[in-house]
Amino acid sequence: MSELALSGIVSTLKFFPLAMLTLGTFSGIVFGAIPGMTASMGIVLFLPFTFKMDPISSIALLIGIFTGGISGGLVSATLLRMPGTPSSVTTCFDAYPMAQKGEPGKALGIGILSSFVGGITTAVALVFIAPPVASLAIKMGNFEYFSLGVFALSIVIALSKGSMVKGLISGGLGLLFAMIGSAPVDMAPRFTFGMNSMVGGFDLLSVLIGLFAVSQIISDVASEFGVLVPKVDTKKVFPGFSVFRGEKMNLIRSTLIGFFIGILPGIGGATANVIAYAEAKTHSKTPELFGTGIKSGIIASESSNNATIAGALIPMLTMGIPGDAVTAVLIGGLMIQGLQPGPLLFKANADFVYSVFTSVFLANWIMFAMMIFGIRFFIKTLSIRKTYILPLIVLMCIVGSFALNNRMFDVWSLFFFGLIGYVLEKASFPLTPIILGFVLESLIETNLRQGIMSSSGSFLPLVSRPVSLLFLLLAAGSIVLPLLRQFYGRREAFQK
Amino acid sequence: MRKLLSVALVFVAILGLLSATMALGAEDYPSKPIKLVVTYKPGGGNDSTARVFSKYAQEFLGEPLIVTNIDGAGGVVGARNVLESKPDGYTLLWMHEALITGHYAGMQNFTWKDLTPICQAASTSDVIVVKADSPIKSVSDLIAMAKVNPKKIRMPINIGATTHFEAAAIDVASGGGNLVLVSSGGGADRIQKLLGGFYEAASLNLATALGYIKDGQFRALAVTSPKRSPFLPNVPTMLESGYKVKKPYTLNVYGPPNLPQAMAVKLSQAFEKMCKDTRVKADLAKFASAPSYLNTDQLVSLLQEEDQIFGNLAKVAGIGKK
Amino acid sequence: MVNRDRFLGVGLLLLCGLLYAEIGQVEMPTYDLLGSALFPKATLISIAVLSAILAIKPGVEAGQDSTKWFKAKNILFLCLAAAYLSLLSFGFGFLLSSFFFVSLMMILIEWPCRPKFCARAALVSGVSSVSVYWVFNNLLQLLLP
Repeated sequence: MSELALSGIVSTLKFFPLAMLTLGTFSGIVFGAIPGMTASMGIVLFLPFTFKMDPISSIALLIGIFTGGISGGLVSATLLRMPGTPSSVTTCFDAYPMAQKGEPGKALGIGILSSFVGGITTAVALVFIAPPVASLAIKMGNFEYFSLGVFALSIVIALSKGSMVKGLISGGLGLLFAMIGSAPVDMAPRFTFGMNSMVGGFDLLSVLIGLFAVSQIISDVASEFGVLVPKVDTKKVFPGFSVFRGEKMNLIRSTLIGFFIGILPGIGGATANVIAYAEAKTHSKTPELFGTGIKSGIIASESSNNATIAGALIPMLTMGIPGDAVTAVLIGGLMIQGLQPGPLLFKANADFVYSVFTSVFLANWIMFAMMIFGIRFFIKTLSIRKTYILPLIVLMCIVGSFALNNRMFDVWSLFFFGLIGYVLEKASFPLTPIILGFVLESLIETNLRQGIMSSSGSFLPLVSRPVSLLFLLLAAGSIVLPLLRQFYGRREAFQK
Repeated sequence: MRKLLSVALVFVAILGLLSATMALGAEDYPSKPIKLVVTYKPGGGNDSTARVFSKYAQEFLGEPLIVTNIDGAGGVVGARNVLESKPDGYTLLWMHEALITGHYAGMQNFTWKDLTPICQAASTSDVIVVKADSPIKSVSDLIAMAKVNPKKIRMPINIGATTHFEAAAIDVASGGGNLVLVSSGGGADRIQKLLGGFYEAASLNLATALGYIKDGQFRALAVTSPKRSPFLPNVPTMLESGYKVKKPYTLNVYGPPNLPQAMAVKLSQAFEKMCKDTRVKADLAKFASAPSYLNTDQLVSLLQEEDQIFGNLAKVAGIGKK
Repeated sequence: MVNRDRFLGVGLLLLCGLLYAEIGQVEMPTYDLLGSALFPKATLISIAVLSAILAIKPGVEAGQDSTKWFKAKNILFLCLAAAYLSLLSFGFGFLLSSFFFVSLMMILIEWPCRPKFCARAALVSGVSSVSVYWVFNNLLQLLLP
């Protein structure tokens, strides 16, 4: 077995696979950094190129794009307050203020370092614990997913800055937007107002980019500033590991959250970074500083989103089940090479599996190197007059949203949500609960309805199944504790 | 005034340059890339088989065939997109039996007759599997168990999709009302839940199930296509096992309504040649599919037959009733 | 500020009512116990209750924007974007539409500006539209409108 492992590793270290890995990581970073373009889009677009390659190089290319794409999102999140990918939403909250205060290099550095640590530790874990962890993951059924979804939604309370009522309304709006289109289970058209184009509903990306990026653009168009990123001296930007002092628990917890959410099929980076951020805020000694430019926020968000990569690869490799949207496409990419992801893969093509592990491991290093050296470049480029940058960003967002489903509807919805985001922000409604509600709606509703179907109408499994009960209790705790805190003021007794 | 004039000149110059890059040319068909609409997200069975054909299409058609994914509502969104597009031969639909079943399940208010069937390109199969440690050893076991323990055998379905009709047919064969049909996600979701013990049996697409069957984790009871699958030659069909469940899984090419005959014929001939190509056969085999060519007339009669089967099944099983 | 929150609360309440009526019209074959109308209705009711709370007890926000929500440039941008999307939707072609949009948007942001800038904007916009088109339509085979 270890002979195959060695041969797998060695075959990846040849020129062409490494070149593809580097090309992929670079393209991924570019795609991730541009708001409107994401890692999954990059993978789909590059897929046809892999048909003519050998399996090892093709997977190296795709994993490079995956890693670069998820990491690249932090660039636009930090410098423009526009998440480059759904996995970097919460990075905006603290990285952007830090950048605006005159420390864009530091913010980027912290993000990159966190991405690296999150990615590399899980890449190693992937090698050793893939199969046993996967067999645990499949024990999660409909009721467990429902309760997990409810728990994830409950932390919207923790995220509410200021008015909790507005935070809850935002969450509700998010749920509502997700319900537009065909319903899960029976495909009933909901809220379509008779328009056929609405039957497909809204795509997460149109909503996300619209709410965060386009609304920001609408506002930037008329703002007084000439540039979006303050021009700073970019000489000393290399962060040391000292940024993690006092953040060990945060780092470990966020990485674990990202890893396990990645493992669970059906949930990905979008949820992971929000949960990690919320948990970091809850367990922090200074939660009121979250959102003003505190490094804990950046660390939580970026380490968790990179951890989802390795996590999502686990069910893909061991069971042929995609851990998220990107791995779904990767499976197709592997099959066209004649490789069947699933239990057979470890037995029949063990060397290939180790090649994948190697690619994931190396991709993190390449990403780290490229991005650290790129910090200066990112800052300089985005310090150009906004007149030139903003229209190009809009163009990219439009191409990106069109690429989602090849229809103009998604482009229109992009601007629709841009307008909504702009108005809601002016009215002091937090935007994150909207995204959270949107992402989680399908998880919650679909799983409850499917669960009820399989239990022939009984709600009992919700509390009779231990994992489900656990999540429901956690959800109750997340709702009750902050409410109590708000009512009686901050007391030491309520700190965990 | 001079400045304004020079600005206007620059504008016009750039405009001219752009117009020049937009080549027109409408003489010979095809003269520009053709869009093949796949009604599901990338990475699935439909998508992968379409991409096999798109890989080789340029050799046989002269222009590339570009796979464009438009997913939503179980395939209805993509199908409708082709239904409403111009019949200029540059937008085609790649879809399987979902085009028929969606209509009977009430999700789709148009049917295959509203489009222009062009040809059939590939076929694969669904297979009914159970976990290896299950006491069910054959289809008759499954049906017997369903009769004896009503409401204890759970099978996953996608409402309105072909899996729904398959499971309904099995249920009808067992007397009706015995199986618990649970709505589920796609193939990967069904595999995951079958492994986790949430279903007793499941119908899976061959491509995704093959690995598990060969590995011994799943036991294949029967394939649901009319003929045995070349990839599982030892597994009987449902028909052979004595049950009237015949669910072909074929991938067909359709065009928008009123597509000129000449274009349809040209496309059909190109697909015929591709289906004979050994490379196409080898690539399709990776997805447990085989090239399967039927020309327009043959396809239409097959569709009419399938239409009848699914229509009757819907009535008997109560699918689509409000 | 207080008035604004009340206004929003009432507005949301009305919206919920409208949507609730809409959902009541959904008529599909039912396959499961809960049906497709349950979740929307539950969510609408929750939002309605919260909006009512908002209307009755509006929050006092220190950070709320007291300036005008929409400045002239914001509105113009939205109109420009709408025009651009319409051009794309009705078959004007990605290249031409993008060229117009990007140049006009640059001019809008920079307004008031001199003709020399307008020429430069046109050039940059032309180059970028063509390169984006080339990269995505031809290289990566993503068919743009």
